[in-house]
Amino acid sequence: MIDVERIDALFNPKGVVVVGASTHPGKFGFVALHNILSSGFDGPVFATNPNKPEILGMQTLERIQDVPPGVADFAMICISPNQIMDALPELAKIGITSAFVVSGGFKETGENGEALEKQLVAKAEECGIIIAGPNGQGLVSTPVNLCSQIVSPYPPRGHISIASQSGNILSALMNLSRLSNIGIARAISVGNQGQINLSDYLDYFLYDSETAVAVIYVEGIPDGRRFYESLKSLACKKPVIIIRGGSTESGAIAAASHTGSLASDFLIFAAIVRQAGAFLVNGVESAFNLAATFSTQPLPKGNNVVVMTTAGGWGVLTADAISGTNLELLELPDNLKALIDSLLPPRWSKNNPVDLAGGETRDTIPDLLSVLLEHESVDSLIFLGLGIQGNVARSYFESPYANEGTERMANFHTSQEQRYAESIIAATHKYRKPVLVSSELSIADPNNAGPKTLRDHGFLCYDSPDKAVQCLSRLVNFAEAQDR
Amino acid sequence: MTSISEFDSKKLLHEHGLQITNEFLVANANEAVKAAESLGYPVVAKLSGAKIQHKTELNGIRLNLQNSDELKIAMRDLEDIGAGNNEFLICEQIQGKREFIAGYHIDDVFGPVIMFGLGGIFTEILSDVNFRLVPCERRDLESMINEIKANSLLGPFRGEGEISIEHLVDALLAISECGLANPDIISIDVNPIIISDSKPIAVDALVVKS
Repeated sequence: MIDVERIDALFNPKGVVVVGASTHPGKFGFVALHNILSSGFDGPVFATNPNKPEILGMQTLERIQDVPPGVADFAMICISPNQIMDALPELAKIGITSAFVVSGGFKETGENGEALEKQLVAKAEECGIIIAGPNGQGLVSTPVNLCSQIVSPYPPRGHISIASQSGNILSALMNLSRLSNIGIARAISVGNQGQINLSDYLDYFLYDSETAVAVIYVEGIPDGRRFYESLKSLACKKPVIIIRGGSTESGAIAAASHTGSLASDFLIFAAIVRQAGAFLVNGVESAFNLAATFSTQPLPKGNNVVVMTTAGGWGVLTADAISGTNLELLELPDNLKALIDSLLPPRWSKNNPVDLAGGETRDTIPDLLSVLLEHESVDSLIFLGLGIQGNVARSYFESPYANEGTERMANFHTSQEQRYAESIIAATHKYRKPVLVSSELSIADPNNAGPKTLRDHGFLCYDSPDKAVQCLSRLVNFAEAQDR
Repeated sequence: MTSISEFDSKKLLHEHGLQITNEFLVANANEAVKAAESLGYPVVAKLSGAKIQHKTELNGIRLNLQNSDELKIAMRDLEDIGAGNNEFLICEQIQGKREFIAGYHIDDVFGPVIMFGLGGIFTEILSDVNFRLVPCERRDLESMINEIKANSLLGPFRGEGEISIEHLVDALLAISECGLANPDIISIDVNPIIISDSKPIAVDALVVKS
């Protein structure tokens, strides 16, 4: 178990040294330095290279001891395994307390590598340096503008933190962060977990005030109990979403009992995640959607949901998706129906889903949103149909028959979509109730003013209502667990 | 790895609070009849003894024996099947439509776990079982029970009342405590647990020690 304050040194360094910077844009030692410089890291950056070339306009230093002492405390290590052993004491001398070891050639290569990794960890401990990796892609820490990794991308700033046993899965989650404009706080590719393991990162995410939601990609867990305890402590306070790779259906081999043969790796893992109060999801996209939901939505006070729709069929499918979950499709109270009656023509659905049936005029949608969310019996809202007017606008903008009339209408539709999206965000904040928006146009036409406005504000637009329902259902789960 | 006989397994679990069938170990048909009279018919007769692990596969169980004649015939069969085995178990016949399975197991990664799930002949096919790490709180066991897919069986079912979750939790706690208190135990199967009068009764059990 590692002191969280020591791990904090990795994510909040004062200054950074890239050990083994390269002049070749195809090499890790170049990419790492490039990413650190281009993300605009808050503190001073140094780089070492025995030939002292200038890289990216920066004068590199021949040796580690040429770095002024006490200025940098984090090292991004891109040199070969045998060179690292000699570098560690030098790094300690200039004040380095934490490092990420990108280099491979350790445990992942077999017995010799495993022995080398043990020596590496022992040496690091001896030097008072904490090591992430080895054999990892690096880390990201947006609160200090640090992108210390040998791959892309650099995500926007936010409150989701990720620890991943796979560098690719980490990148995939950060790509979704960029796509949705819902940001990341800390992200780390844990590599071989030589010294700091997944459980330690869970402890750190509990301690770290920048982290509101955690996503973990797990393949194997050496110490199950420790993992469970750390997971439970974190999940009581912050939502934790887990993706499991390498689940097998097979039970314990040659089990001595029924219980043993039924105790498959997957069933046990799924059960401990539930017991800890975390969420197990089956893929990267579901993980990101759920994390984005938790990081952008308030927690609902109860499970009563209203579906507000300008699209009839989507409303029906959403109601279907809600049945069979812990959510309740609110039966509209009479006084709420009366309020809706005052805003809509008589042909509205008179029921939940509240289907506007094409009865909206200029201000109907913002007004109706307020009326619904203000009502005490409504705990959350799912909004469907965003982007329909924007879709017409697109046809008019692209039309071979475009004229002044179609252009005026297209502009009106566009500004309406923008207003709807803005009113949704404002209402979520004003009433402190979750509003989840689903529209396939978020992927079918990312430039549609409705979904685009949500995205510009860092607010998720789900591409299908069942995804929104799943996420809302888990918001309710988490809120209920908090109340206990 | 050694298995403990059904009788001793149940006795051990009962010491930790698990409700089990009333039963007697007997050596022959005469003793069996005496035991049955004390239990009251109908009864169940089973092959017993440490060597008898797979009673069902051996066809070594006779259910629902209504009187001494039926019991004697059953005993004659079991004596033939047992071939020299002179230990038999006479148990009260538990009446109930719902069967569950419970167990204790030491997982390679997570350590001791408790299991609960749907019992009966389709147990392996449906694999409708759930787990919790132990020790744990009653609340964890309650959610473990409620999370099985067939959780509608917990409510009223075919003329039988709602299952007492409190008693079910007690039963699972007893199994878990039995396992945790004996570090040499590597697994426990309680299969089936039959719901009788809304409460769980362990009808068969197998404790395996390292």
